Amino acid sequence: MKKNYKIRTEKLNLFYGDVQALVDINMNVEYNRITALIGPSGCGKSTYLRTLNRMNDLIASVKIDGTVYYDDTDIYKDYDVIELRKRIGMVFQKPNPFPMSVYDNVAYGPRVHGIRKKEELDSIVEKSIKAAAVWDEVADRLHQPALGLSGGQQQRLCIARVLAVEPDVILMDEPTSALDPISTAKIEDLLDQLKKKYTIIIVTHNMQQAGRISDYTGFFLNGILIEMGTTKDIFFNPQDKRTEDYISGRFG
Amino acid sequence: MKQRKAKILQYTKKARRAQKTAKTVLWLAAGVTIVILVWIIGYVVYNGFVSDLHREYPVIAKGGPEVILDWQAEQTLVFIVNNSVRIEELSAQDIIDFYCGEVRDWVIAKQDLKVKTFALDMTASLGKAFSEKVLGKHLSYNSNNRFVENDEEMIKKVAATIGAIGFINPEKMERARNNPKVKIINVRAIALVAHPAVFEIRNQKKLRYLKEEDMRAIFSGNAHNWQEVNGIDLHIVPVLFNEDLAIAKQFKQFALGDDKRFSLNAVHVDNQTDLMSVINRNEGAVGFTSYFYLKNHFPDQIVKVERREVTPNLTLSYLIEEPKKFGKVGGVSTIILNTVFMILLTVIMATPLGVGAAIFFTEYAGEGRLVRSLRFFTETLAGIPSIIFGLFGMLVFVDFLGLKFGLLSGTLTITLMVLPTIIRTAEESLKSVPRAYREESFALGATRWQTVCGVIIPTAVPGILTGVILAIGRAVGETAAVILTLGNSPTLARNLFSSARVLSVHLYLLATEGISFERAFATGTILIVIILIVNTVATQLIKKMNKMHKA
Repeated sequence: MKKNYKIRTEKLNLFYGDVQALVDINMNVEYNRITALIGPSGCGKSTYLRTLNRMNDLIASVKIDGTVYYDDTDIYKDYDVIELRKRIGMVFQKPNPFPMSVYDNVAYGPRVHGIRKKEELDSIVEKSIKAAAVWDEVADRLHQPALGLSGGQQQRLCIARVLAVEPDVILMDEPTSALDPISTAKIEDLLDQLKKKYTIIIVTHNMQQAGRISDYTGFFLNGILIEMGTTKDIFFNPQDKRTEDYISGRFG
Repeated sequence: MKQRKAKILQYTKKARRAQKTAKTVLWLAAGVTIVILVWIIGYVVYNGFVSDLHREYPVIAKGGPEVILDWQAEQTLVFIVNNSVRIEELSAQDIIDFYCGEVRDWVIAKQDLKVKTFALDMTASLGKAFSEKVLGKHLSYNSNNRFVENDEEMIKKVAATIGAIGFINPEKMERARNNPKVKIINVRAIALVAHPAVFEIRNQKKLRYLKEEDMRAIFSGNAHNWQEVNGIDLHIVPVLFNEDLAIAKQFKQFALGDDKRFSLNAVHVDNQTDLMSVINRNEGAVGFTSYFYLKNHFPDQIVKVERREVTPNLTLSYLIEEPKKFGKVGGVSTIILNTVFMILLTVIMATPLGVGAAIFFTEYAGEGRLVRSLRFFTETLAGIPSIIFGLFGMLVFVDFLGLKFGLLSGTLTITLMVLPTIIRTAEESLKSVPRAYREESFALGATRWQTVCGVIIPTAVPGILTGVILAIGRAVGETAAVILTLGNSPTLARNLFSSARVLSVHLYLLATEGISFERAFATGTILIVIILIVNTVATQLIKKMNKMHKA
């Protein structure tokens, strides 16, 4: 029986010029689950993540081969890139709020998608900030510079900014690697709530984090998806020797 | 181990020393630069606000209202001018120039105003004396001079005529003082006279003029040889009128100051004939008498006196009056406005063009060969001398396109000239916008154009503004290109095609044509102030915008 997945990639190959960064990646991502991608530095997990909302298009030397399906539509053929990025949001490693007020940061997405009415924007901003669990901290400083927030608050603000365009998939590229443990814990709690509504794919360096928060885990090595399965299986019953070595901390 | 430690210690010491020397050298470099800059700006601004001149006059440095026409006090008069004339004192030579028509405007008051002379006619004794003593045998009244019959009529006429000057009997001074439309002016009418030998050239030295303090030294007996006062080797013989004569009293008051005493070894005389015969018999003799007398009888024996004149230079009237007589009189109001027009037009034309090009280069163009050569081309343009832009502007805009010498030709040329600056700085500030902002914006589904407008330009605005300020600075200071394209009519520009003089050109003309250095400095000060205002406003703007950038 063919199951419906949120995102599927088939035989995905990616080249930076002559260097092959991803080799024949086949992966299925489940609805409303958190999928973690782990692996040592330079293994291609971030590159893979960026192919899912076509961020790699911005790099001129990148060539992509294979197919990526989002809701069974080929995103490189049958999807408008603007529309795609609206549906598949992305949170980056370092929190990077724009040099504007908190409000304008969150309203930026809706605005570029044509929402101009103030009441509408107000409600979207409030809803998104609340959903990103940072409302209590920023409610009284909506019109102050976002760059004045703490790192953890900034990252949650960036999540709010993504939520404001109402995506249904959120890609996260090591979202907590630049944060302190307390901020990290807050973001992890947030992810747990968000997965009720969104499909989340998260790249992480931190294996405990992957173990704590994800439902599925994929292990990358040298551009190859070595193993993919439920987090429990990957961590406690890895099929591949290399996965086991990595999980048990023998390299990485 | 110990050796190694000692070596490290030694090395640390050496590094410290180097650090200290470097610090001193850098501190010196910074200090010297700042001192020079402050000196330049201070010099220009000081001279802009204060005119501090040393001028030579054929008369002594001070004078009173009561003017002695001859050596005796019998014939004295008082000069009055209409209140419209901004002047408090005149020299006797000015009076002669006015009445014989040599000078027809109040240039000395820096006003564009005709001099209207009034004289008492020959039936009045003072009128006769004036004609004989002041104008003498060789000169006659100017054709526009008007005669009046008596003092009352004189006061009335002078009060009613703008730019008028007249004279009255000293007894009527009170009447003149009570008339608010008339003011009594001081006239410097006493001059120094010396034996012709004093003016000779000996050992390549010649007395050109006396400083005020030297004059004082001569007549109070502190100087004994002309060498002491920059003259030739000749003994000084002061010749004085008896102290009870009015002219001696006036001289003592104006030249020496009241408390000073006359030289004890002076020769004393009690009339004009004696004075001149004593002076002409003694080499090195020097005396004083009425300028009018000397001018008519011994014009070659007058000793010039240098006077220091410290007056306010840049006054409100200079800012609000129109320039007249090539800038010799009047102010610079129209020129300031022309400059502002030029700045505004240049900014309006150059900013969108330059920023647009910079956005194209950084955001759209990539790194192709064409773009690289375009960029190289703009950078080369930045280094081309402005006169070449001027030449181009003159031949293409003024002549070929037929835009005439005027605002449009001028600002188009300046725009071409400042474009590279604006492109360069805008490009740098666009490039310094973090890549992450672009990625984040794209990831939110924004197009490139939305990203440019929504994130990149707002972030880069302070840098772009800096470029615009630099461009304004160049535009305001530009002279060569502007002369060739904008023209130099000192009137207010009425439309885009009318020739207009700007401050830099005005300054250039004032200085090169020797019109007035004080006015050149005043104009320079206005230029500096304009740049200062532009800079302050822009910094405030940048500060306001930067609020969002600060953590």
